[in-house]
Amino acid sequence: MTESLELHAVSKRFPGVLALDGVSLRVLPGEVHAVMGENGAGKSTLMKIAAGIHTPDSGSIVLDGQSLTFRGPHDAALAGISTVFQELTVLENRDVAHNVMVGREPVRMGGLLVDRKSLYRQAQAVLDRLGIDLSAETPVASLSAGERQMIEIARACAVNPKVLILDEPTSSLGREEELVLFALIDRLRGQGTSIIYITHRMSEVFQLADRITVLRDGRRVATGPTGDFSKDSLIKAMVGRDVPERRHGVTVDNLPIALEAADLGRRGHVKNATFTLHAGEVLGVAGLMGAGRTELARLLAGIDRPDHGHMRLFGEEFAPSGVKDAAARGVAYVSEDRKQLGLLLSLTVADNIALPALRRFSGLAGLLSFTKLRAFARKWMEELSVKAKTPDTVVNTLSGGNQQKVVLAKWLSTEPRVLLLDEPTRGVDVGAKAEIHQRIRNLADSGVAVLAISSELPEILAISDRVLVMAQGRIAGIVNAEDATEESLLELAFSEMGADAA
Amino acid sequence: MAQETARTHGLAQWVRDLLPYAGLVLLIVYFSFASDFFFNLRNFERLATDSATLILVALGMTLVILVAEIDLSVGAVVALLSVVVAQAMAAGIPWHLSVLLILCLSVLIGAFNGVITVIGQIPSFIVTLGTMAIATGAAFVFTGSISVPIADDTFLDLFYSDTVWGIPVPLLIVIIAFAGSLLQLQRTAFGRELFAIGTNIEAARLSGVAVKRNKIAVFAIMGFLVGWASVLSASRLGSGAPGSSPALTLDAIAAVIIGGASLFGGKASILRALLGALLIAVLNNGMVLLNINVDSQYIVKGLIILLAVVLERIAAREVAR
Amino acid sequence: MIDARKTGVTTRLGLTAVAVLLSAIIASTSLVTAQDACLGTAEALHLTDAQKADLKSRNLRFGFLTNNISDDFSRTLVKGGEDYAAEVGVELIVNSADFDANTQLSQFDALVQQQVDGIFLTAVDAGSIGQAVRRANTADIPVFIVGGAPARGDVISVMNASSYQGSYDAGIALMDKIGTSNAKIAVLGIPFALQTIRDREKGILDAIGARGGQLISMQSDFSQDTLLQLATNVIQANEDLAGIFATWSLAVNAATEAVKQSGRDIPIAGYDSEAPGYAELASGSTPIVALSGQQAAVQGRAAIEGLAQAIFGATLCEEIITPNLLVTADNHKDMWPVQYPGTPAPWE
Repeated sequence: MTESLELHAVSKRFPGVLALDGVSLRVLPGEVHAVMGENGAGKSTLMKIAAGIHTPDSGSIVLDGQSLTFRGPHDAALAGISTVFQELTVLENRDVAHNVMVGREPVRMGGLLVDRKSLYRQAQAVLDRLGIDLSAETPVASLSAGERQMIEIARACAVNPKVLILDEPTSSLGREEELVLFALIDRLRGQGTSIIYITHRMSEVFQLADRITVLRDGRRVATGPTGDFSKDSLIKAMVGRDVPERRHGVTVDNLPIALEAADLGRRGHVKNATFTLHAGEVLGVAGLMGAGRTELARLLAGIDRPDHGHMRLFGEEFAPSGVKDAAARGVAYVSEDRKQLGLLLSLTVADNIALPALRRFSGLAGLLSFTKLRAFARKWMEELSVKAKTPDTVVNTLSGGNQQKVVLAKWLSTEPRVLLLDEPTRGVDVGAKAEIHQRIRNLADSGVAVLAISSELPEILAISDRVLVMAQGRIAGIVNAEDATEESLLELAFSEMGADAA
Repeated sequence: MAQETARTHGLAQWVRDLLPYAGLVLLIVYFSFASDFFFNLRNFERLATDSATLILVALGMTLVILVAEIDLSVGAVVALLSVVVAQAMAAGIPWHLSVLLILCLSVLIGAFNGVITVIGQIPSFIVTLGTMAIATGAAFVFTGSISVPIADDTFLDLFYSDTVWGIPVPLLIVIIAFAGSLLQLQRTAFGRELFAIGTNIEAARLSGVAVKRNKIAVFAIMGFLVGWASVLSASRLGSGAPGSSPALTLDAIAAVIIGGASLFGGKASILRALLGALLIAVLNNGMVLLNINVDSQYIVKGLIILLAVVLERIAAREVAR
Repeated sequence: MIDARKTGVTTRLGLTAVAVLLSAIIASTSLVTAQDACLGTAEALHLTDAQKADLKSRNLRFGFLTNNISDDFSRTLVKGGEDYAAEVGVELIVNSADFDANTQLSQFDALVQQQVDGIFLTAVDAGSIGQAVRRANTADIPVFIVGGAPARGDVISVMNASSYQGSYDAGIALMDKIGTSNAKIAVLGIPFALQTIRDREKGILDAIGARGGQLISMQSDFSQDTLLQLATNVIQANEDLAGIFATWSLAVNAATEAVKQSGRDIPIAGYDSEAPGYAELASGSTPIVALSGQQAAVQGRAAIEGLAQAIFGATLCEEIITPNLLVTADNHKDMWPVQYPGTPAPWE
């Protein structure tokens, strides 16, 4: 077998960082090649070089024995390398066909008009070939996140690429959608397409990949068939040390009640939610995409107003008028969408950390004390081991894990009594993930009531004392983490309406 | 965090950061050689007093643009308020009470813009377009289209030619407004929250920032500065003129953009906006001294704005890369 | 400036006998006496050959500011001024304010800064130029203004076209053409803070009143597009509309276009006779009855002569009126060269 794509001894330096240091990667035809590594390990840079977005400082790109130089993504696409990036780029107000064929619309009358007939015919052919069960005429606005991901892949595959690069394709998918995606990847592999698959999720790698390459700090540390790796050895390769994973599970009966929800509901999203959250426990919240987990948290955090039901916070009536109000009473919500809702990306670490508490630093004549503010930010950076040079570092220069730590620092700095975490480790590398898990545990031990939403069942089981499972807007059940398994949680998550287990 | 903008080091960003400084210096050097009447103290003094209106409005516009809003009504409101202050004095109200009256009125108009924008969730572009039309109409209706002369010499001299410690009063007002705005934006919780709102309004809201209240406050502050601008304008013209400031809104927005602000919010600087306003004022002054036609002046201004905006886009792309 | 000059001269007279003698000599040599005769017409401002020669030797610079440069009136005015300035060796600094009072103020101040020898202007807003006129007074620069006296400061004179009379005459021509009493008239104008506009409006209102007509609508705007819409709406809304009076050039064009589009027979009269109006009258079939035309070229020349006279020490009357022309289909061929000397007619 000859390799279809080879990156040979590629190096790339950015101001201040050597992002890639002589990395070689060989991808065989018809294989799924997983590239793993912590955030900042160089995965994205490597992929961007393969995709023609960056030019390497040294090293070469060889495709089917031919050495290539890309002036831009267009060159790479012409050569047969297509890329699906993590961020979805579907055109919201067009239909599936226009999205799949974007930039390649068939034309007639010498390019004056789009040939609509062949547009739909060709788009449908692509969808059928990939086994995607969608009509080319469906408007994108009505599609789920998973279906949109399919559209992205269909777009990339419309040109029959030799190599398809997928950058964390499952980060916005629910479990069912993942399975559809995996089937699609299988089919592409069967058709001889090489697939480079970047992910953080251990389970996916063992399920999908033929071979694995691990990067750490810009170097390649391991390459080999999937069978040569175990979960532990993989983690060890990525972080360069052992990371323990433990189960917890305290009895909550003796803990004081922090937050009580009774018959809480918001039309279309959350129905009759009744539960208690104890100070000192981690209550995991599991469920499928769209089960109402985020919506429930938003009600608790004062972002949305419930249609019915009521809440009590440490025994007192709790009906927050907004985030500010809730935060003032010690309830903090860390959003699932770090980039859109959690961070001010173009501002500094200090700006971000101090934002909710900003008014506390107003001194004489309302002027802020920057000395105090910086010291405050630095303290919380250290507390959460945020890896940034100074509090004045701009947040979007940090890795995903460090950005997530900044978001956590922002809310922990308000010293909340109730902490609502929505996907606290999404897009975070293994090392940072373990740190965040430990931090969550410590918080609970210090008496904070933690509610943690996660789509990764192993994570739920690892950090929770109890697990609340939601299905179709209802609470399908609350179980002790010690007694739960991934299977039992999934069963609850799939429980139909009417089977009211709460 | 004292920095007002994210630091990025692309070439376009570098040129863009330099634009207000270099542009101002280049213009001053050019006009000094091109005109015999430009580089002298009397002209600079006049330049300072004449540009006061523009600078005040540009300072307010900086806050508005920082939170990703816009105020298109300022020129029309300055015209309306100069009419009101002239009529108030004509009706026998003492000048200081008249000034107080229009300051209150201008804050109310600003807050009105803010409330409709924020509570009604209508783009400020549309809201202030409405306010602009109303203010223009009102100014002409109140006056029957004829400007209202101001007879009060105290008022006319105080806000145009009088000096305090040797500094012309309009310049003094500008200095105070500049220092106040700078402190407010850089050194108060309110100011830092404005950066947060402009950068990512949802994230700011979820961080407990009172987005609505802050935005209304921004429009009210804009109103306050517009009020002072009206006083200076009325004093300079010696009348309340209903059609007096058609170019003011464009010039103020241009000043802020030249000063490196992004119309998408989150990026603006008081100091650079001041430089941008001075650049436009010098451009206006110098081109008039060279007897260049007013229409050609529009072209030059337009080109500079485009240069600033194009640099902004290229710089943004550098960051994204 | 008028008042200041008078009191200035009086004071000087009272000082010494020598002063009396000197003034008398100056007065007699320039054939003008300060007290009993002021120059009150465009003809009276004309310079003698000796004065022209004197002017040439002085190498003067005048500022010439117009409120805009987009209509035939302003262009002809500027051309009249430039032609005559070239003839008498005066350097002319011409600038237009594009209807922005602030801009005009800056331009005016710049002229003061450059220490020109005289400033002539058609004010954007006479009420708002006063502060600057005072600064010109301080710098001893004579100011000659068209349209209306500034709110503050002194000018050597205010030159006006006969706005009221011209408007009235054209209005009467319109009413007489309609011929019926109680005729319903609409007025199309400009929302502009100028005395001349108010005078034009008064002229047509008086003409309507004098012939027992009735004003049913008064609309105004700066742009021809909007004026066309306004005129179209007025025509549609009033089935019994008998005539339209337009108080400025673009309104004349808009009204003509609107009447033609409507297909109805509605006569039009207006103030301002510019090239499109002349072309209409020359076409042989037009709703336009009569247009009152200002003599811009005459005013442009008078601007230079007036400033020169003031520098020579003559006194100008408070107001100098230049008569208008009443242009009709019958006389337009004769009127064109009078109103726009040296410019080819639109039908040529």
